[in-house]
Amino acid sequence: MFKQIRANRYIKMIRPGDIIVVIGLFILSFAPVAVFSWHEWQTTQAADSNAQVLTAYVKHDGKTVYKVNLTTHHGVSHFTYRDAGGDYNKIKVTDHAIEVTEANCFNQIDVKRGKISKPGQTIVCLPHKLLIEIKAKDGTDTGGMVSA
Amino acid sequence: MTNNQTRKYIYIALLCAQGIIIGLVERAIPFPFAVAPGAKLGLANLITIISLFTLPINDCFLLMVMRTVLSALLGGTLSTFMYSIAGATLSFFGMVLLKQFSRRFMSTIGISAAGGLLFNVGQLCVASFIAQSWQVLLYLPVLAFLGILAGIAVGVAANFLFEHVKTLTFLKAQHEI
Repeated sequence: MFKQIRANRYIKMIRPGDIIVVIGLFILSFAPVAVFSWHEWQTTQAADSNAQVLTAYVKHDGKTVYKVNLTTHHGVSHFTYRDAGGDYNKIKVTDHAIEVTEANCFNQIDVKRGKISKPGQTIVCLPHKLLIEIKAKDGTDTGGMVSA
Repeated sequence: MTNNQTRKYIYIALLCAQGIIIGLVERAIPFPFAVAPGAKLGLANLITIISLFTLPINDCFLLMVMRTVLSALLGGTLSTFMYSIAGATLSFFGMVLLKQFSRRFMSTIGISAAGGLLFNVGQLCVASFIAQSWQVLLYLPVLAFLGILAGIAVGVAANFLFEHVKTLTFLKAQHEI
């Protein structure tokens, strides 16, 4: 009985405004998260509408030996890199992705890497000094910044 | 007149001293939530709440600034001072606004919860300014959750104080006239 009276007094202390304000504050505290995710979504939309042109470069020792435009590429095409010592890497381009299917290097890291299709991704085969990287170029960018 | 003035200054000084002591004692409590570094209970907010209900706004502001500066001098660094002055100013104005808008509609609980949240907002704004990155604000939900809970606790405590400490009840009634 006595306890109940005390609990009642405790509850009476809370006014409706308190509940509204506390709930509102909890929602408000998530506002930065919402703003950030919205902003991120917007920038990705903008990037999509800019129609990025992705190009995959296969480089040996810094020199480009093969390049393919991934954005316009359809179907399957193959390229095999061979050097004088008998090292080889078989490269397969499937639609917008590129991968190394077979190589005779000892660690097979390039084969295990699988397909890559996003700008900035790379496949590296250190024993053969081979590097495959994807570079992005905006459709609006006409400058020759991408070094071939 | 002079008597009243003196009484008011003594009251402000008392509140200020209490706030600093509460802040220092709070600093000695090891915080159990390791998930949120930088989170504080903000018990010293109690003093700001009490002053809001018993003093004119400009005196409250003076009290708030004095308390922040002195507790930084007594046990803080420049960076903690920057965080707490930004947080305290923001939460002070937020609480003043809420108090003006809601005469009978809400108790001290809502006001101090808002103060707790705004303190964290101010803190994180300074942090993101120092870090030059708005990503820091993504930390707000974690901090705000604890801040609001501590704010509710402080609000309950303030309610009890106004109910049971006769001097405060009297001063509050006098202020409301």
